[in-house]
Amino acid sequence: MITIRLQLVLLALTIISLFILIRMIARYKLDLKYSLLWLLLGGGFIIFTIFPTTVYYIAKFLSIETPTNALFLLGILFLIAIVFSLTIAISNASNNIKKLSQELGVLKLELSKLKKFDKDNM
Amino acid sequence: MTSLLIIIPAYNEEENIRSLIDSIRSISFKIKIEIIVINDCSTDRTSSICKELGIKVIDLPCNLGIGGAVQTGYKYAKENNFDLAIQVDGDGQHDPVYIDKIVEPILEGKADMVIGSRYIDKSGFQSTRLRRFGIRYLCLLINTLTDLKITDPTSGFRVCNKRIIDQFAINYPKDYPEPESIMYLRRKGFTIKEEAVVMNERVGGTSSINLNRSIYYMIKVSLAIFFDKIRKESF
Repeated sequence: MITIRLQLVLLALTIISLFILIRMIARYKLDLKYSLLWLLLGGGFIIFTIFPTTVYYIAKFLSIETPTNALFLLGILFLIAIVFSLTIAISNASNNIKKLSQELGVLKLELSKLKKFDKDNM
Repeated sequence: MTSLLIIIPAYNEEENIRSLIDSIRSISFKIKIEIIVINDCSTDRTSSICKELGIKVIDLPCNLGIGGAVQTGYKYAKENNFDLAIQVDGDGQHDPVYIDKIVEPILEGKADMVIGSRYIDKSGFQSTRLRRFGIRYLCLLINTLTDLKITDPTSGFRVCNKRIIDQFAINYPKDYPEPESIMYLRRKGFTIKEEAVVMNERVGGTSSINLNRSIYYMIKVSLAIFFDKIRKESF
């Protein structure tokens, strides 16, 4: 059973979080690319809290006894999706850092060669 | 004399880059030009072909995507004190004979940025039906949210003056930068004009936006445009 109190608390939390999220994107603190899933999560929770019947349908479809549990499940699934997208992002970032470090190392060597060449020709 | 930097972002364009550079070199421009190729971590011979031709290449160690690559060009333009910078895509869609034409309004002081639009005269390569539909939707979005009348918001064939070079060197959108940067510049109070150009279909290589990505593209660009709408001028 989703009570009106739960509904209101969830709605308030979701709206506050979305507000903070949108403000951070607008101030270039968050990349839109990495915030898409969060926006989707916020949008989803707004629909679920305003129209709790959708949660009842999902609970019935998945044979979950209480709709609140279905809400938990949906929340966890969303979080798994976000964590997974972060894993992908971290892998890309660490690959790029590796490439940058290697490039920088090679450049340092080239630079020291140039400096030595300069000194020898002074 | 006014100096113009031609920024060519290229990712795996070995089939197109040589003819593009040859055609730029065959034109005698009214202003002083320099070409710089931003090689966005290509896996083919793009970089070595440019070096063979004696063109300056910036080889990015990581693939940054079109936004990051083009911004590298603007940073180079700022560092080397260019008056104007034009983006010409490495896929050969943009015909360099139009460079003088789209630079003209800036030299006359009529605009801060000029976009080469293929939808004013509606001749030449017009892109696929699906993309035209998407582009029309983006026009509608931009034209209702700003006071602009843009016909080709996804065109990368664009020239800008020094004030915009400085602006872009600080902040340039990352992934699909063209429509978002129009909003950004308008918010900052720059004047944007369009000039009619004829574009070619890409000859070799593949486009970075395929059908799968186009839905993601539309959602992301729409959101980016909305977010820019709610931004204050100081950001």
